[in-house]
Amino acid sequence: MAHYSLKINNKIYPVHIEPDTPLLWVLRDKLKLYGTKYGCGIAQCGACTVHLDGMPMRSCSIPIDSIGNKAITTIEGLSQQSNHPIQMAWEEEDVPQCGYCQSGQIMSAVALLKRIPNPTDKQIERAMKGNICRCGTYSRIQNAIKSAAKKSMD
Amino acid sequence: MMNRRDFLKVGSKIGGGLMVSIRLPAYGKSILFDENTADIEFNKFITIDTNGEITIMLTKHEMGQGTGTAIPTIIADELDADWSKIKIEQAFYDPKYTWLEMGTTGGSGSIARTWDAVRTAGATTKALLKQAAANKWGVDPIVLEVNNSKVTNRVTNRTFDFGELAGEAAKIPIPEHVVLKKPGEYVYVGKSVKNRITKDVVSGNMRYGIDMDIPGMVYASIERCPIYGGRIKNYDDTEVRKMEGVIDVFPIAIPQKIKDSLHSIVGYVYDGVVIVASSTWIAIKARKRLKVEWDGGENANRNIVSLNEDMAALKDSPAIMSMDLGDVEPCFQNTENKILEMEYNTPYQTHAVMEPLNATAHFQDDVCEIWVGIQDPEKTINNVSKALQIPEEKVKIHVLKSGGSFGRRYAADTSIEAAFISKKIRKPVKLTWTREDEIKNDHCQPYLKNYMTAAITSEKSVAAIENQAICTINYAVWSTKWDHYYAFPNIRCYRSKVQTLLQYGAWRSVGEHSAALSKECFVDELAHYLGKDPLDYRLELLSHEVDWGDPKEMSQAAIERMLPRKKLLRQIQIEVLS
Repeated sequence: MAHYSLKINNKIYPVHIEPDTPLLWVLRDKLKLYGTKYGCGIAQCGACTVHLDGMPMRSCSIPIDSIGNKAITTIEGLSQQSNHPIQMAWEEEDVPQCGYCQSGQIMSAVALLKRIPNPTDKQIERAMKGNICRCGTYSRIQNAIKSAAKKSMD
Repeated sequence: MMNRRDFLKVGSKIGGGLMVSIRLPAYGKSILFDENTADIEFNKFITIDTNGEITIMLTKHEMGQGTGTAIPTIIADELDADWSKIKIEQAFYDPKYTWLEMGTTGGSGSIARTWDAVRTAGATTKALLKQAAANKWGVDPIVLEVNNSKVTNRVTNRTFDFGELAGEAAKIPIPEHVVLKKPGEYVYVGKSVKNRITKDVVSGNMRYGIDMDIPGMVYASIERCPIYGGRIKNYDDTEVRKMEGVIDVFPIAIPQKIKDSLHSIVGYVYDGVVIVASSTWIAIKARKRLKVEWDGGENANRNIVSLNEDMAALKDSPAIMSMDLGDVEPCFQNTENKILEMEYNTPYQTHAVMEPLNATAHFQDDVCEIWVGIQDPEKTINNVSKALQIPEEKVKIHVLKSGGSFGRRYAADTSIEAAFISKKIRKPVKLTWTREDEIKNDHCQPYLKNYMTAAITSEKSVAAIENQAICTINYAVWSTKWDHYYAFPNIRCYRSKVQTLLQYGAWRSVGEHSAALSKECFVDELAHYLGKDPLDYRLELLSHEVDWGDPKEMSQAAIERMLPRKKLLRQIQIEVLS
């Protein structure tokens, strides 16, 4: 067991836990931040995507000991009123079906637009291909990303 | 047509307002309200507050299929309610309501089977509100119209909001007749309405079964027998017990006698070793240090290769004839006929639900509460009660939303496991299956090997079809006359069952899609062989009258459920193709 001080969504969380615990289980089981989802545990589905210093990462595969001072952002910290342009576009396009993978999809999409404000279809496909949706909402995801990009360009 | 008085009841909402109770019939079998029975409770299916807020209880399990939005839109439509004033609440499962339709969500029938009842409930509620307005103004309801949660007097142009009428409406008896809308009059039905879960999903506030949280709960993971039907022999947990965070280790192995009393699919629980820990991560990690010896039972030495051999061996063995139409024999014996044979395999398939399987349970005093995304709470209660040897009324199920199900969450296994663990440790516990667990110990779609043979005349027409279905469950591709909607003059079908290698269960529409795959692929093959366009050929095959059979020889379920659906399916098929 070791002590950590995690910076999550601009708040400091002290945690006392085994150093190899993946960030995902710290968020869910210890801090009760349930917006980040468990899907596969081996970084193959993207449901657990969070940001580390703005970079999209699979929280199921990051041991808590390796995080250091990096700032963690989860879906809960994306915006105050769920009014991030990506969240608004997601609502407008009515993207979710069962919704389970969508926190991860949204986190990946937000990171993409930060890197490439106006991505091409190919760039969207490449950035989002690690996020699996079992319901198959991919076309709406694509539309929502494009519409959010367009709005921030206008 | 059912009588509204049999299944609707009107009353006052506590604190003012209107409450309409409903009892939905199960497959047309409605249980009557008995006014004299004390334990009849209002189930507050639709309530309207004095501020106009409408609450609709969702009696179905929302698992991504959209029923949680769709059924309320049907009610809102008949009620002519303002959609933005509608709140949807998940109904708590309670067998006391004898609300049979609530016992299960599945069979692709949530809307079809509740359609009449929920529309009538919506329309009746509207009629009560209309009558309330008529009473208040002292006019005939005929001059009133209802729109967007408002009742308007067409003569005076005055309006009442639903909220203003709710109290008065609660005093009015259920009307004898209500008029349901005609298709052209729908406001929400058939229109695109946004998914009610979207807001919570995008904010990260949506809670699924796996997100259940009880203060003080501990976490569990189970190392299960990798072989279906296998049992635990012994295990060594020495290394596990040394790990920090591990709270308890014990086997889960339901005695055979109890196992036999459980539903063979819904109630099947793999033997395993439970690890309870301070986090899911530790419980999962600790399993790697566990040493378990299994007795694989009769499936121990079987594998997919031997199963394929077992299935192939059945091809020429005697089988059950599931259908015999016309006379196929001469067609296959006629040496001038060309024989076309194909084999179709629909292998075992896992559900791969996006939200891994889970259940949270809390066994306190003698009551077991379970929080789980489940398609069949009724059977779950029954199987948990049998597995734990506690009365059914001591098992409470809270139905939570699911991230996909596709039939998998019919099974009560996660509920039984979580309940078993909580009973043992006397603490609230969340059990999570890993992704690997779900693939390894799934209730798979049954494996079907389907052989299709056609005898084709020298005039290039199909004289006969023979089909042999070999499956890991007792399943026939064609078992009744009405399955035969393509006009082949002679059909004979056989089915054989082979002992399954994996646990099986509901997966999407179970047999229908395997059957459709083989049938439709074979029709393509025939069209290709005959040099015909596959679409034209289908229309040609469909342009005949179907012998739907004699209702006297059919089961009630077949008449009420299967036959109307088959007829509708055929009609849709023709409409889509034409």
